Amino acid sequence: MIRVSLVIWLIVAAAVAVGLYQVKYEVQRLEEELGVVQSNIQENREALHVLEAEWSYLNRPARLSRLAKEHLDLQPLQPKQVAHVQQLPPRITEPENARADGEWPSLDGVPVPRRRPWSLQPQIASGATLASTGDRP
Amino acid sequence: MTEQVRACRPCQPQDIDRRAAARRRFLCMDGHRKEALETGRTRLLVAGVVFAFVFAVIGLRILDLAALSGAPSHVAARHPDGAPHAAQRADIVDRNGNILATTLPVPSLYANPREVAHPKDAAERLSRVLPDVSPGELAARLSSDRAFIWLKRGLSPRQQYRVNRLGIPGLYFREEERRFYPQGDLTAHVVGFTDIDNKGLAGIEQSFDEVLAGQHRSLRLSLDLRVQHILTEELSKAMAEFRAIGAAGVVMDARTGELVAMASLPSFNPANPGAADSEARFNRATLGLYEMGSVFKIFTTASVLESGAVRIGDRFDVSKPIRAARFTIRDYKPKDGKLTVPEIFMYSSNIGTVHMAMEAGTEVQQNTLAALGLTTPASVELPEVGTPMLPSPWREINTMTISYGHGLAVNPVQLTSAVAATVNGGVLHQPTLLTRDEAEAEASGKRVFSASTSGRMRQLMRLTVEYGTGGKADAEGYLVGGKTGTADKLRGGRYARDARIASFVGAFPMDDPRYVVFAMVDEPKGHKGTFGFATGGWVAAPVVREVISRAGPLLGVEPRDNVVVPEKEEHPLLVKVGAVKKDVRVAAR
Repeated sequence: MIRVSLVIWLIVAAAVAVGLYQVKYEVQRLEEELGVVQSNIQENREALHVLEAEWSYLNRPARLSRLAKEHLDLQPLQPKQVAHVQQLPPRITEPENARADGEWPSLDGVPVPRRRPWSLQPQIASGATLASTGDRP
Repeated sequence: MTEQVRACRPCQPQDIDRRAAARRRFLCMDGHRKEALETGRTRLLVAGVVFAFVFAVIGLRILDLAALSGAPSHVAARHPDGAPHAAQRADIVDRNGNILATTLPVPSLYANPREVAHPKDAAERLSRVLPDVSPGELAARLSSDRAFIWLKRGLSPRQQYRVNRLGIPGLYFREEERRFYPQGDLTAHVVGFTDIDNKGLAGIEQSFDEVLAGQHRSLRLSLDLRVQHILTEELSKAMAEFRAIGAAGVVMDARTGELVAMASLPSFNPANPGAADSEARFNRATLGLYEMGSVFKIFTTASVLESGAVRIGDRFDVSKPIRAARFTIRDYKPKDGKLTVPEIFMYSSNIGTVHMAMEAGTEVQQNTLAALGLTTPASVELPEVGTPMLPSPWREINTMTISYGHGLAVNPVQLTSAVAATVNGGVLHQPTLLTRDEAEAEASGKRVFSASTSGRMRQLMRLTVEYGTGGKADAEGYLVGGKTGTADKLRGGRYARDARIASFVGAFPMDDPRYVVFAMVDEPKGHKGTFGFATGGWVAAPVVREVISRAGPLLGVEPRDNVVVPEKEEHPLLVKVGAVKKDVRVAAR
């Protein structure tokens, strides 16, 4: 009886020892990996920091405006280019000429357009009033 | 204890039946033996408990070390931003997060001269890589008998590579931190600079030195880099056009007192402040004190209207110059007859303004200027702030000259915040370079003028731009209002005829001012295009117009495309005056 329990205990002890050994080396390996990862993080951070500074240096307003003048056709914004959303023409999403029976109306067999051409008349009219008041006397 | 145990031993071998003997012995134990055994047991128990406790503590500690206290690595790995290591000075960024100042690691070269075998040869080879250090000096340093000597601090990566390639023994690098200003001279006067050990020597770097050294979070300023660029560019254009010696400009949020842009020209490179002359390093916007000229008529007019001494329809005779003490006060462009307050303001009549100021008196003027913060140094977060120059004693003649901006010198920033207080509904906000939201501003603001006076001043300033001396500041669509100023500079106790300060202060949009823009050009010289004029209206007003029309969209101010300017005769403020001629050409003054 004593011998059996002794053997079991010995086996358990050996198993624990082997396990400990494995875990210890696993931990050591992970520690090393962690160290490498951490130093990588630190390096990347420093690089990021330098790159941010460089980004900021390359984005100096003076340089950007010089490059924009050289390569782009952009011009300063004029007040009349700014408009409200309400001033935009209405967006037509529904077909207007659909009939209730699903048939498209046609004239002599030629189907009429599904949308009625949008009229600029009201907008032109309102724009004209704006323009006339906007002009300086 | 051993003795007691041994004492009961002799009886043991005599027993035959163990159980019986044990029973008997147990029974036969007298009080003395029993007591000894009890003592032993108790001691064993105590020892056991102590050991168990200690092992439990050790076990818990092991568990804690192994499983629970792994936090630092996790934190390090998951920290969201690129937090630099501890000793690094914090960045300075503008209101949109653009970097104005940051700290970068740079290699510095030092030597251990005792390890350098051939100092002269080494110095010669080094001087080819480091052209800004003379070979003689290098040789002297390399042949000294110390164990450590700096050769050059702050090398570029290329220089480091080339020094390494020389392969001279005894030379070493040390990583150092160096302040770096990506925006160069654009924000030099605001941000300032540091010495080689990263200690702040000027500007925000100096006033927030401890804060910057002690934190990682970047310091956010109220500046907007884009507006700063626009302001600087327009000022330098005006400087070049009028061959001026300097210029300054301020853009301020009228509702909070935040400085959105602040420029002083000429500027300098903060990476090498030692190379700049003192003129370039001088911050005209905060340290410079100037007699602002007619811009002060804003405060005079506002104060007399606020005090009730003068009403908007009152007329003053401006036909005769005023003689007081040994001065004669004249108008730049004399007018005949009597003018109303709006006319005095828009044509910038000195005589009329003096009459107005005298109606209200010296005390009103002093109190108003003090309430506007024009008699004490501005509370802006820079070490370079000039203290206003006041007349002492403040006589009647001083009241007269100060009413049109002579005899009291202030800096552009405090002037701008005083103008902001005049147009924003009458509440003064101290100028600041840090961000401040409207709730904070409301809590810290001080009322100077009533809302109705402020509204009246907005009308008058708009009038000046519509019909008066500030016409060249009218940025289309932005309802600019403002006031021109031209002041002769003091030279050796007298006013110089040929050296003057041309300035313009404007606000937009005038129905609900969001921003105040101030531009000042130092000693402009007129040219053919301006018919020889170098006044505020010709020099500084166009700068303000350009700044507003370029920066307006960036600042989120909606331009109007239906601005109606009535005929001058039909303007509600001017309609009573029949004598205004249509072809009056106003030279800005």
